[in-house]
Amino acid sequence: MATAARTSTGGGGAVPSAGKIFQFKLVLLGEAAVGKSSLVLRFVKGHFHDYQESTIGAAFLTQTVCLDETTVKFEIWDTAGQERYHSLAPMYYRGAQAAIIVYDITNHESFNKAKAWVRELQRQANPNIVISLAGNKADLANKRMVEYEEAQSYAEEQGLLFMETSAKTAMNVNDIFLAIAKKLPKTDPAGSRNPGQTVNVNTAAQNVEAKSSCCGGSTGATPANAAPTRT
Amino acid sequence: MVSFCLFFDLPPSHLVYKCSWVSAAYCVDGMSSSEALVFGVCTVFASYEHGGLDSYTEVDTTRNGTWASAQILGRFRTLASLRHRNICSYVDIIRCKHDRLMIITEHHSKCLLEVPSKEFSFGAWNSCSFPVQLVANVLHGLDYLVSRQIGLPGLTPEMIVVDERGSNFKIRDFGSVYLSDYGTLSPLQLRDPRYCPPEVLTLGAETTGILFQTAVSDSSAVWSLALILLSVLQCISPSTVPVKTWVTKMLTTIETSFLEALESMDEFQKYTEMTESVRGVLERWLLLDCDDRPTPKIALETFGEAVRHKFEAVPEPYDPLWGRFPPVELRCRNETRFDKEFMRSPLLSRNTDEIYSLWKLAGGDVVSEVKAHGYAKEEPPVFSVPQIVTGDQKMLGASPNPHRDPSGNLITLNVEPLFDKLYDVPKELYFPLLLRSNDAELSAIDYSTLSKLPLAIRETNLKYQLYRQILFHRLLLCYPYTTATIRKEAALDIPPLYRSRVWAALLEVQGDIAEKYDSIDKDSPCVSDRQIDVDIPRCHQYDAIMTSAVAHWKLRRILKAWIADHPQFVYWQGLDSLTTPLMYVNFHDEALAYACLTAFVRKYVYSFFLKDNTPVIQEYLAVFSHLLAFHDPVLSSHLTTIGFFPELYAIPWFLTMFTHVFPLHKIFHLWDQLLLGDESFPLFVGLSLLHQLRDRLLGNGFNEILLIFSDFPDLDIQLCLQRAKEMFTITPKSVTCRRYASENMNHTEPTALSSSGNRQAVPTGVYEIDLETLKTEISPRITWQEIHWLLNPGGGSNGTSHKRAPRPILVDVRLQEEFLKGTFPHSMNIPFTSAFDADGKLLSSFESRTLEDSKGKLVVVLDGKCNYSPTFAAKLVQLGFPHVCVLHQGIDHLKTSGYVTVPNSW
Repeated sequence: MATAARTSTGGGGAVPSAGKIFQFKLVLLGEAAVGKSSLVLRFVKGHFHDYQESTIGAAFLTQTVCLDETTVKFEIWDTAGQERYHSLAPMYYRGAQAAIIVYDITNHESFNKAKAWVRELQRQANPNIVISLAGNKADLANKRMVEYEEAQSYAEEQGLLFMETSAKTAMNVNDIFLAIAKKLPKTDPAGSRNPGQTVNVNTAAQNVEAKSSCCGGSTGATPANAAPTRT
Repeated sequence: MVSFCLFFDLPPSHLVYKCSWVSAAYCVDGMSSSEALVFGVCTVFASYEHGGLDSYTEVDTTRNGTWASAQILGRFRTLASLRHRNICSYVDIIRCKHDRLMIITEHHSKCLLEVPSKEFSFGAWNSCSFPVQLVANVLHGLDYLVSRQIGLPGLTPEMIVVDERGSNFKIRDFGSVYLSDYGTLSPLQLRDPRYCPPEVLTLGAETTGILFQTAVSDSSAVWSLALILLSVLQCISPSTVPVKTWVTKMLTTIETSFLEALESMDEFQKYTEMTESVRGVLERWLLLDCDDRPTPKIALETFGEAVRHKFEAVPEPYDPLWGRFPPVELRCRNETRFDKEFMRSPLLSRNTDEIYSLWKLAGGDVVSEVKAHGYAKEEPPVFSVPQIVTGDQKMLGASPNPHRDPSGNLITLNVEPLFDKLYDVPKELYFPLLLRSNDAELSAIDYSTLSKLPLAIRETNLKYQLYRQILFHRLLLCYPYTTATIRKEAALDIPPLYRSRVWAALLEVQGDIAEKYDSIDKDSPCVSDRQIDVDIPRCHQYDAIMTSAVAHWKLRRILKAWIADHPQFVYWQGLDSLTTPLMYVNFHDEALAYACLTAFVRKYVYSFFLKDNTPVIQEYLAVFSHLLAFHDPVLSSHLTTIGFFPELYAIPWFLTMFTHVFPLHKIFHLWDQLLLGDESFPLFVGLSLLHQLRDRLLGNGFNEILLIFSDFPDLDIQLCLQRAKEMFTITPKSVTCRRYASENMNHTEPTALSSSGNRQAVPTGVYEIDLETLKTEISPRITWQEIHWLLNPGGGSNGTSHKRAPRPILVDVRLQEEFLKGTFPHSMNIPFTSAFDADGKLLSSFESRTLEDSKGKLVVVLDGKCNYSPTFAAKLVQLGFPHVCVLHQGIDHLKTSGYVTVPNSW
């Protein structure tokens, strides 16, 4: 995982001339102020703010990573962390092929909350969803309250990707997205689409078919996955 | 103030001039200098000094000079809110490069030491005697500072000034210790230690922060005052005694009261001329232990007894800029007098803050004034490079501190331009007419041309701002009786200086808000504490004041008060952002900020902060979608087709009333207008945001649009508000009806926004629709009452001044036989069954052609019981018809009402 992902900023303007393009919906979940927005901002824009403003509802960004043969475009849904916004979360993780559950290594409560998110996704999200666990704020290791081993064994138990990250120092930020990109299934027929053709895997009812074929999720074509709609 | 130990061997003059004061004085045109209006400018350099013993146990690299200067900005706002006749007000602070802060204060050039000593004599003291006035004035000032919790470790004679009339003593520069947080945020200025009370003196110069703060007591300055009094009475002359001698004597000979120690001094003979009773009082003021000394309040009482006079606090004249809204009787006391002084220079009758703001508009620039006098010069960085570096790393020849001025001298600020520029302003302008016939101009000058200029120009136009400030000052003096006029004038613009009070008036804040706020428990732990604590340090942090500890503290208290006082609501992330503008403009008055927050939430985001707000938000967003279809069917259809629903982007808009979307300076202008509208107005602001992005939205797909919204573009707020107002004005009132709107809000409430006035006092009726219906329908509903009103404008008891609203096009979509049995007057019949072809186009007929020709007008689709009308309306929206709505409940229930007639009777 040492290789940094080649990333291009912005809304997917930089599409390589060769290779297949896959688009995946990725959602970030976790307790408030663990650094979800900071991770995304570091990954997409290379920025870091000590006092990143809180997210209300959700925010959306995209980023493209290039693997050896293929290009993966992430559409990233960054969600509000406060528990009260929980009721909105299904709207954002519905149809997601990947999720990063973030906790703060200096706050054990946030790790418990991360476990709750994992359980919820395993129960309610797309069954093929690739879940990864990020122990953020690794630069504050001297205030650590969650041991690396504890999180790692939990991740192994649950079959999650796991890394400790630091949005502040950029440690493992690209790597975790790259690892997800590698792990996402790219074997379905939709993978052979022409380069440059983007597939909206997200929301509208008329895109449901495209989505199911793209992400290979056989259950993806149900109307429930066509959200967010006004239901 | 704390200076000492290190400097004991320096001559006294060093102590006085070490501080970097730049004082500025100017004479007003045609006035003698004794009557001059003066501002002082003082420079402070912020630098964080780790106290070592204070609460921060580890070194925090984010605490540097920049951090410290932001803290000072926050603390300054508290100082700036202090207004008392016996203190010199703090007016403004300017943050410059290299952590330099320039502090502008009210300044009087004549200090206590310049008062001729013959004025201070013993004899028979009465309440008018100079020494008595000195003591009474200073104690009044000190008592006020104690009541506002501004710690003062002592006074020096330099800190006491006399106003231009020569009769009122004021304390100046009382805030520098508070501002520096007892030396942690900037180095303390050096003061003469001979007037320092023992509890402060024994701390030594190195003690800062909490240790210093706890040492200072309410009665510390009383000690200094006693010495100052003895000194002006020439009983003692500390300035002739070397500091070291003085302090040594003080610290070694004192047992209980310093007065005993002083008696042994040579100069002290005159002391015996003082009456026994005054001596007794002073003895207590000079007690060694500060706990034994009286507080300023008690000192005032005992001193009064000694000179046989009861000192009562002079009530501060009510100024709407700083005062809350007191009872009318209190306000009437200070009706502006037409005295000689006013006639000579009416500008001088304005308050300090108005004059300062006008001075800036007249081109006044503190920084360049200071630079013009040779200060705050920036040296090229190369000068800080040493010329010689010796083998043991000693550096020689470098400019020691290239950005810091060595010391200050007196300079004169040039403020004549202000008085020159306003010389020709007629005196009538200072007394605008508030009661007048409808069309009469408020002002003696015609500002109608100016008022049409862009807001940015109006806000920087000197004469216009003078006129607006005077007008709003007077309107606020008479609030709440002037509420209607305030609304009307605020619709034009709000002078930035009076924004805080005007907002409060627009939100109709009244009553004893301080008592209410004080009674709320803001300290007990609550479930949202952790969330509030993680949110506040991230809230609007691009603004320096918002990074200060004072701002965090205030925001936290206001939020906690709101939660404690509204048990039915909870803290949602976003409430912090929403509270910020109200806290920011009311920085000097938490209680008012709180009252505004309560009123704002009740009016605009009622129920948004319920624990389960899903139905509230969903209803709000559904109404928003309806309005989008109503005003921009093309954009609405496009966004619906690609699945881009308001749930994805508009929640932060409305939950935070755009405070999460725009920076504070834009929010101020946005809210200036938002507060004039009713509870539905924010929906139109949202529409207007979409409208500004319209071309980009229409040309793009789902992902691209999401990206546009994630990185919200810099939009023109004035353009946005203009468009929002236009849409607001032409939208029938009942179209925005919401079940979860605040009580009383669905009823008619005059708004100041509409130009045609057709949203004023409309008898619209209210309705409730279940959420599911609301969400499935595309077009909004309208009530029959409002249709009736639109068909018969001015027909009711309402005044006839309303402009005639265009008659709506009524489309009855029932079958013809039902239509013929009775419908609304002037309806046309396009039966649902034969209206559209397979592609959804309108089938040609006389009626459908009429409908096509009327595209753009208000179209009301109606049927018996809303069975077909919503679908019919949706098809019209698909075809690009704007302003389509559906008659709520249909026409069947009106059959016997008399509003329904048979078509051939028209």
